Amino acid sequence: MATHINGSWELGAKMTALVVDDDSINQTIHHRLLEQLGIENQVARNGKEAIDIHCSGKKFDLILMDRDMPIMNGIEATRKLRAMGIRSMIAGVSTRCVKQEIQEFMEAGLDDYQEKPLTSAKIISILRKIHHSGSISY
Amino acid sequence: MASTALRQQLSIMRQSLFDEGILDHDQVSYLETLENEDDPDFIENIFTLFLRDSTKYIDSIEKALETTPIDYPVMDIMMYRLKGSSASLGASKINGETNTLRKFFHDGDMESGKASLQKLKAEHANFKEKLAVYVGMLKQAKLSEY
Repeated sequence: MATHINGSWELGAKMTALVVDDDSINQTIHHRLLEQLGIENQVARNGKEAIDIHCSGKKFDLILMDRDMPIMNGIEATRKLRAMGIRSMIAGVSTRCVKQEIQEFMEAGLDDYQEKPLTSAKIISILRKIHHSGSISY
Repeated sequence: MASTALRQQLSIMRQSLFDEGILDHDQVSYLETLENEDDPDFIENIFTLFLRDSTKYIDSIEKALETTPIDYPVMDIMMYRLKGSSASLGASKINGETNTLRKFFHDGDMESGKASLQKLKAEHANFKEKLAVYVGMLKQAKLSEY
């Protein structure tokens, strides 16, 4: 469980995350950002890879899900993960800012939505939701 | 340690990229905090990646526009990738031009869209030229530290 103590994150067990994004710049930045926060993470290039990684038995505390990806987009991938029983914190990350488009993404099963560019502050706001929910979901 | 003259040149070049609106000061300054001894070439790497990928995205948008019928799904994906990566990097002008381009095509205004694509290409060419120089200077500064 992630606990916020005196302005920093105390991790009972090391947190893990999956970055799902088709763009190499965002993959690199988000991977580094999570690393700097002490969150072990790996990258999937699209929704199908994210599904395959979960089918292999891996689970994550946090999934950062891009919306627009080839092969399988973030909306479809989020729906599939929820249908598979994955209860990890899934945060949608996109440049879309039209209310209806964000709503559509949220309704697929997101716990949170953040507009790009992603920053440590935005990730910490997502982590607070994991903290407040009192559990790490698998 | 990089020579004083080189460091000064680097600083002036960096500032000019901000002053010309080519890069967003806040976003780039934030990305620079992600670089450390574990990943000392982080900034260079993401700039180099963007120079490579943004070229591919723009080329793909142009090709999709030239096909008959126009390949809208490919164009859409490439425009979103360019929008997303330019936002994450702080490439403000490219991000702005991409947003304008997307709007024209989504509104079905093909003529304005094509003109906007030319503007994006010109902006991108300027960006590539200046950023390539900056990345070169960053590499030089690092090499002179050894």
